[in-house]
Amino acid sequence: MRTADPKKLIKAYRDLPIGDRDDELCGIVDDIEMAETEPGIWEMTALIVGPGAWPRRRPRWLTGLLPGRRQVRVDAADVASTGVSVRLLKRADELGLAPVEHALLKHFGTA
Amino acid sequence: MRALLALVAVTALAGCSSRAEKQLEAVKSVRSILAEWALVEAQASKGRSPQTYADEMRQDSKDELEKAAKDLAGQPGAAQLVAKLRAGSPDSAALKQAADRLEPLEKSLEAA
Amino acid sequence: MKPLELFLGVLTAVGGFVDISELVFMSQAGSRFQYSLIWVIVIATIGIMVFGEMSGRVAAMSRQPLFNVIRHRLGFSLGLLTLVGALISTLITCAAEIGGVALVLQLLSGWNYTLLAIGAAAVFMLTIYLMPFKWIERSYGLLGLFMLVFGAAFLALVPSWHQIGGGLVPQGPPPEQTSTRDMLAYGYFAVALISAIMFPYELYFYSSGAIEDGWSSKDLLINRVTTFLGFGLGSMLAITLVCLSAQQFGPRGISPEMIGTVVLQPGLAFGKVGILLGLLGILFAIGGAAIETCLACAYGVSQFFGWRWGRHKAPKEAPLFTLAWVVVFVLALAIVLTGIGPVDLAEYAIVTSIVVLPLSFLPLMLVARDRTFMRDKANGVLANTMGWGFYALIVVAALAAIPLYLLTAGGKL
Repeated sequence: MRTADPKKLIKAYRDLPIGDRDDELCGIVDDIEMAETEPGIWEMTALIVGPGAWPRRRPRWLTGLLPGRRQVRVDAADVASTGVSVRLLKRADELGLAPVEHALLKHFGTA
Repeated sequence: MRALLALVAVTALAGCSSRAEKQLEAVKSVRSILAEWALVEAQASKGRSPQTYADEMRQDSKDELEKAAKDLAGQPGAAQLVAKLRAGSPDSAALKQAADRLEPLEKSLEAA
Repeated sequence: MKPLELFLGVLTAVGGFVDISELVFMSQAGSRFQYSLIWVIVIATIGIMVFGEMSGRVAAMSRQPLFNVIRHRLGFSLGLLTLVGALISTLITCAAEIGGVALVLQLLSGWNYTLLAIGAAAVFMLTIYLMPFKWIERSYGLLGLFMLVFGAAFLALVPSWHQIGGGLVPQGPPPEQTSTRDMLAYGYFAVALISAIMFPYELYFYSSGAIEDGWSSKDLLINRVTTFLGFGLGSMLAITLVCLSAQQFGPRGISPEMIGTVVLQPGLAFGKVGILLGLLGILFAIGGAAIETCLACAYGVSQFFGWRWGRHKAPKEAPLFTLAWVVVFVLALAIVLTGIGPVDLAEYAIVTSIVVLPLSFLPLMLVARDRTFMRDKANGVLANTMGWGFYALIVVAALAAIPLYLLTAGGKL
């Protein structure tokens, strides 16, 4: 997505659920990275997933108190599509998403 | 000094009304529990309720009366009445009578 | 559309409509204010139909359950606040339901309350672990139809149709109850009834259930029929509780302080059989609610943080979701074991839930009218008008809830 308004970009991606290549849920978009790829045109360059992104959300006095610092950067090239949710081109474990869940799935033999 | 006295008076008044409200709440609760218990006894005496149900409701009524009566410390007559009923095995008529005896107290606390 | 599917869906909604809060507050409302609060129940029922239909439609069209919608529309911080509020109120409700089930089992068996509460929680956990989602919903919902004995008792005890009809007209308390204390208590009961009928956990569960059942745009008619007919019939059952109380408890000076008192209503009509059927109805209705509230908490947390969720997956395939509902049951049981009675817990649940309601329903309204999500199934003029109208009502009720609770000592003054 390319837009002149960075707020639209944030609204289009942030807080959407993420599904991997196998259509399994693997997190929520906690924040995004974006860049001005052309003068006045902004594009999303990466999704940021994990509690490490929370302190950047407002109000910072509250979000700064939340535990967890881990975050995963998902490059825009790994995003297949977006709409009511974000679809990825790879599996969650290939991108380091939902590590706790995957550890448990491996433990139970269902990964 | 006057401001302090006024603050104490207002707090005391608020405390008083809070005590009266707690007593009113307790009396209403006690009267309802007595009426519930009376209905259980009435149904049980006609063989219209399972034995286990009636026994458990009797015990629950006594337990609920004990909780409600904690706020009746300032009303010794009512507290004694409740204690007597809890200790005995009153029938439906006695329970209804007890609930009726507490009605004037409820009305006076409402008017206060 | 499969007729049997539809029929079972409606029956499940009817049998599952009444939970412990409705049981307690409907009975107390009828006893204290006779038929004068029936109109509030009707309005609240229409409200839950409107929002219920919207949540099912949003889930079917966007494949997004309510908590995903809440986070996306409110953002992280406000969404987290909503989640925390929802978890607190729903957890308290779950504890009230487990306590209520233990009380009913004690009335049936005479066994120890604590052991029954632990046993009940264990049975609910096994139910969720072993049964597929559809049958978790259906089994308790259909068995909850024992509650129809209250409807039968209502008819057998010769209701006053004239007074019931009068209760449908918006009004205040009865003419002989117009003191300040009575007016405040009437206001409190009105808010409590709205909260009891429009509990947010019902929509969290319903919208997640729609996705568990794989609903799509083809299921919108099932959604409408379930919410309108199911909730409507369920509400009629709830209204019979008010009427029975007005007729049988009010004149006797009873404002039920004990859950077991409520079954005296079918007992008055049918004796032992009425009491037993009433107890069974309450057992399964609030048992089902215990499971719904637990799953609603687990759905909320999982959806907010993007975990795998759902009973359409095996428990091991959604490990964090499974852990979440186990933890909720353990916490709810811990609350029960503190000794706080189910009736008191139901009251706390009512007050905390109505406060959370505006934050839960606002994102739903915003998404349901958004054509990028809903395509041609976005809210029309009627849904928008009714939705915003009920939203305004919820906001007023939410603001009034805590002051009225404090001023009336929870309706007891």
